[in-house]
Amino acid sequence: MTGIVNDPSHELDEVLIKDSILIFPNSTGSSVGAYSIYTLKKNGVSPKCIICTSRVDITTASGCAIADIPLFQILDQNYKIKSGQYGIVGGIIPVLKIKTD
Amino acid sequence: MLLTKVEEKALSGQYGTPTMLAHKILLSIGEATDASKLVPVKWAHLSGANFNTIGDAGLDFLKSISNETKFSIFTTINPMGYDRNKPEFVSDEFRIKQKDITDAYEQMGVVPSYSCTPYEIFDMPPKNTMVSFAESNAAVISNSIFGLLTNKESALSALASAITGKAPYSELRVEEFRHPKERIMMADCDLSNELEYGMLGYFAGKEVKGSSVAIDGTRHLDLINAKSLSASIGTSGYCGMFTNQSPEGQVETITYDKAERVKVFDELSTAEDGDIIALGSPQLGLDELNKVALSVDNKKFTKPCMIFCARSIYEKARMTQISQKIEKAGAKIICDACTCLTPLITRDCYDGVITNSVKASYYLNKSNKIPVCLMDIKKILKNYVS
Repeated sequence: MTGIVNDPSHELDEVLIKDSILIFPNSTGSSVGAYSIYTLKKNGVSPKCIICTSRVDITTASGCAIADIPLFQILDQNYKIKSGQYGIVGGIIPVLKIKTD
Repeated sequence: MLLTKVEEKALSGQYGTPTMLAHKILLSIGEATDASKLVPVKWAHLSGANFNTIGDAGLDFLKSISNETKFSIFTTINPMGYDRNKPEFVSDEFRIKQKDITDAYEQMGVVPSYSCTPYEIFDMPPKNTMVSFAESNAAVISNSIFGLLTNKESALSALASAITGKAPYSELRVEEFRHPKERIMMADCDLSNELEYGMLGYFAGKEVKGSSVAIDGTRHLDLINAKSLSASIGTSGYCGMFTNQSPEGQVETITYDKAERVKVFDELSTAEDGDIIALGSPQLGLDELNKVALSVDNKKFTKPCMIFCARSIYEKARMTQISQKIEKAGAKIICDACTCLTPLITRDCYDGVITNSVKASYYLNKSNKIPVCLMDIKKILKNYVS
């Protein structure tokens, strides 16, 4: 696992998520996604932190728990964050955002 | 979330690293899902058995905890990557790493079921029993058809439950969250076979925001259609339960019509044809194997065919000559594994896969990068058996 998104149908296809602030609504699909988050960390290519905009789901929460990746939820749906901005999580790091609508 | 004194000690590491990590996972999920406490669960069903899904990092993690802990409750497990009795089909490297994973789980006390359909193998506990099921089709069908109480667990949350015997008291374990606030209504859709239910489920999983949904037209579901619907709901979204009962109070209505059906089909069916038939995601049950056997008796598959089922189902099928008929027709029956993410079906070997499984189609397209021709089982057996 390289930390590079590999999904031609996705807006972040071919983007490296290493050391980013990764923002998405919530995870879907396979229950082994939790191990994927852990693998990203072990391979040194994980995001610095993850922010869920819809709900913090069980897969993301459990993966972040053992990978020690800070995990947040945005409760204010009027937030304004865009890809290309920078945030501070123990250093200034770029924001990667997946559309929530 | 309130922890007992014993749970706080476990979280601080007083009972060893695996128990500490398990409590850390459960606490994190509990906080995320607004749980008030941890509650006992009777049965954990794990995912994360296939080396292709958890990789070296997952393997190292399991090895590191397997010497220090035992599962405290009845624990079963999902398919791994290959058939233990047919190791010649995979590389030595894969087989060795896969065996390390199953050894680690078995050392912790897992029942080596290697099946994604525990509900077809084991006696189901009474309704309202708390369980922790990671396999999404098993979680959805257990909540919806068998009346068990589980969230749609992750591989790690079910593992944490297996170690501690507990799970957060939240979401679908709480009665009020099992009452749907969304309802799917049919418009001009003919739910005539398992593929149609699979596509409906995929649509539902994508559209529904809550953990539970009411779906019209699911009152008289047989197990085959319920499996297909549950597997595809679990594939595309977060929802972990469907019900056929009319929801009370104000609900959001979502319409599933022919146009939506076409959208789902066009997204998942990406090839006109394929060079292998793959059946079994979820793994086929005895009824499904029997239907295949009846259609292929004294005939041959015209394309290579792999059929995935649990070993205990295969053994039952042997006793009634079902598996012999299928194998005589030229199909390979694979136990312990399933269509999704097995090294037996790769882009290097195949240009396209024919299947009736929406779940398999999603993962073959997305992960294996193999185009898929979706077709219901009746049509597959009509078109590719003679």
